[in-house]
Amino acid sequence: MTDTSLLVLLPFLAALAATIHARGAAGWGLAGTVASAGLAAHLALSVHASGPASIAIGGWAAPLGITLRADGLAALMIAMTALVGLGVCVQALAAWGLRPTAVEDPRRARMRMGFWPLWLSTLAALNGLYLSGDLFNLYVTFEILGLAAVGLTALSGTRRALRAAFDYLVAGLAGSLLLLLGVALAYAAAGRVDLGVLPLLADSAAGRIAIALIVSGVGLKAALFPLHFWMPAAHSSAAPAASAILSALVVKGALYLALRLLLEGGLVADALRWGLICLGAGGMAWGSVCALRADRLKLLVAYSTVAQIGLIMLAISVAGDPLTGTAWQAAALLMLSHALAKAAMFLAVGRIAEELGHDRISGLNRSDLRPGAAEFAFAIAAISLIGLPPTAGFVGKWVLIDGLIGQGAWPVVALVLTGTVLSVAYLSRVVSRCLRGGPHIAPGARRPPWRAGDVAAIGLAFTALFMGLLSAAPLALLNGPLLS
Amino acid sequence: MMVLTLLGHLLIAGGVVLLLLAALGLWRFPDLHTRLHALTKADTAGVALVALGAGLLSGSAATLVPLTLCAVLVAISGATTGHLIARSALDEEHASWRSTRHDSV
Amino acid sequence: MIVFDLMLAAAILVAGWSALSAPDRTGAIAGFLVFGLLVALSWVRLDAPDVALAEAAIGSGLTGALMLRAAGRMAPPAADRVPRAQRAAAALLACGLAGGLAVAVMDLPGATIVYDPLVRADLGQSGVSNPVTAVLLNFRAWDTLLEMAVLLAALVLVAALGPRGTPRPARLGPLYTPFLRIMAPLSVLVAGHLLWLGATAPGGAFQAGAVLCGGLLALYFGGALRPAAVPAGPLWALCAAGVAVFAAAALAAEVLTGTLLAYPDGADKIWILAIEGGLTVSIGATLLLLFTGLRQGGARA
Repeated sequence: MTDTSLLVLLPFLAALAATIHARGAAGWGLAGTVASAGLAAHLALSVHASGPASIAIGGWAAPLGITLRADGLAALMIAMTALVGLGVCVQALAAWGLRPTAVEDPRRARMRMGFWPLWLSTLAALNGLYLSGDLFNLYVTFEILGLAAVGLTALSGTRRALRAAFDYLVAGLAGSLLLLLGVALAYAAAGRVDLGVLPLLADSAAGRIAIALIVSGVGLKAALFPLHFWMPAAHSSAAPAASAILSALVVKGALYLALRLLLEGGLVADALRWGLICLGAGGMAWGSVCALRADRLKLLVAYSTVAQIGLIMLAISVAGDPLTGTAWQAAALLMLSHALAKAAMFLAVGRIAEELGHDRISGLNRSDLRPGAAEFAFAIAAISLIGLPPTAGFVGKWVLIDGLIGQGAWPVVALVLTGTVLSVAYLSRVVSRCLRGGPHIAPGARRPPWRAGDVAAIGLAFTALFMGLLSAAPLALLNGPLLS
Repeated sequence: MMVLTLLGHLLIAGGVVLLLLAALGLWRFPDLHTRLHALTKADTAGVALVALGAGLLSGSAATLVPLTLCAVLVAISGATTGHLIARSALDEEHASWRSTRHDSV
Repeated sequence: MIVFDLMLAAAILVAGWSALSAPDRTGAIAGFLVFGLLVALSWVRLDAPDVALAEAAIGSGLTGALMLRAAGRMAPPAADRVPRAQRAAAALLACGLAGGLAVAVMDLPGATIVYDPLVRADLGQSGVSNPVTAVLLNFRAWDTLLEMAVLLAALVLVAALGPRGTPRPARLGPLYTPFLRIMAPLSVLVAGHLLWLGATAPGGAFQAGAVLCGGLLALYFGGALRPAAVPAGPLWALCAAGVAVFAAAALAAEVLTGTLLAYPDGADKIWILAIEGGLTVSIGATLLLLFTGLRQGGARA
């Protein structure tokens, strides 16, 4: 299983190369991303064919050493990261070029040299996070992830972006400290920090407090309502490629840890689950309301992430016993569909703002500009976020509601449906303006030209669309045996 | 052995007294230069005495040598930092003196 | 000893409070420095000299220097204070957290020590006799590798966002050069000593790197070292060398033994020392550049 270690080390070494040899940063970035995507595909295939595998690093077994574990869930998350990463790479290459040109805009050069090392670090950290079987190691991957994400936020260099990045840094550090405190307490209570410690923690008050600290750290990092205060500004002021990474991938790291806590038997306390359900529902409501009131397109998309995170957290915390039920799979599918759709949406919004020169929602339907490919991609991504068939979002919500009906949890079904209706409401604010043809468009209106950014957005949106039809593949991965 | 132990305790006690005096000087003296005066001398000697005493108490040369080295290093860096602080303070005083004279003229 | 411990705990609280309540930044940083040194002392009392060394050198010393530098660059703090409600909320949260921790510490079962015996059982096969080094460079070397990535990510961030170029430090007068003549070579010596010592006693790459960085900083202040005059590419290579060696060693070990980071039998100590040597140089260079800042963008710095 060499590919598991390479999945982390290869992007990391590529990040080093891109930093040292900054003129060729984009080349290293492209090579690292494509190679990592190949490894991710290979991992998914081998997990599907021969079941999950784990390696004890250094030959030291779990409580003493660290274990890397590749099961279906990890393989799916890594494949999701690779897919989104490829799309984002296309956009980044289009925006900032592959090689330095003779006469170059310094801003463009700065973005190119800054983006690739940060993105490759993010990729390495995410792959390491999904593979890790150790709480302290998970904390370390969150540290890399948090720093790289702050860099991605601040990359555009505007005042607003720097301010948002600073708030993000502080919130992320607070989350890290809570997480670290929880891990330390777990070590004090049970004497070990591998994931096998989680079921033992429920036995003592110290262990339960440790779980609560870890969950609150995760909540802060995942921007779970009401700890989302740092997120809309950070996600809406970054460059489009960076926003797509932050919103589609980085918050997934924390959500994945929450799902792992559930699967490893860490979320046993009912009070904690009910608390998370309430926060998830609150996030759905608050995010939707803010998205309905947002005046800027990027802000709307960012607030929709708050709502979607609420939905995913809800799906994680209502899932029953993972060994008997399959409701937890809904959370994984929703994460997958949200990643694809949200990345497509941010890339599309970037293109729309580029053509319009602004991203005010009220100014979307201009009479001299026909809707272009980016608007189309946005609409497709919106369909997937809402969860209409045949998208991946539909399959996720179907599995979730099916599981909820099986448990007889009708109030939660109502919550999920209300959230869906709200998402229709706020997304149609944009889609209706984007797709309106007819009389208000002048006869000589031009159509925006095709750019590579459109290709990336449409590619990701269509992947989200057809992932519903191909959902047998992720479900087969998730149905395989889990490692615990 | 008894003599060495007694001597060690005495040296440490003397060092602590010197350090206390340095702290008292830092607290009570009116300006930066007098404070530095109290701090650098008492500090250097205090640390040296404590280190020597601890070395004697340990009773082995392998401990005494590094501890003596520590005392020497503290003395060198203490003297240099004291000098640097005084120097920068003097520079500032000169600058403010010049600017006030300039303003009044 | 309980009297000493109580006094230490009280002093830590006082230092923390003075750092929080100081009216100006320099005062707050001074409070923080004292706080860090006292915490290092408490690590010694808790029988963790490795942590104490790291806390004193990096947690307090270098962080304090970074803070002083940042404070020197910033505009004076705005007059408007944090709103009362926000302060009250923060106090409430802190008290809640402290209460929760107090409950947890009261409840801690004393006897569930699982990890210690495991380390002791396998210490003989780790190649070193200092359990801390065995954990950091062998049993949990993966964590250390990723921690190095964290350090490098921080440097990437500083390069991307920090101020362009570094001002030349002010001249420090005739007494400084003799001081430098003693301290700079000595820091290299002490770093090497700590590095070698790490195999058997408290010490190791992080402490050695911090000491090395101290010597480099002394040279920088003396005007003998100007990172801004060196092209950024080689500087980056220096900072990345250690972690690149580490990652390459991890993969090489996988090729040789079939398991990631499993050093070949009998050669553990040589592998660990080689990795730590690379890490020391990189940590020293990275910490120095975190302080002085560097330009992003390859050869045309």
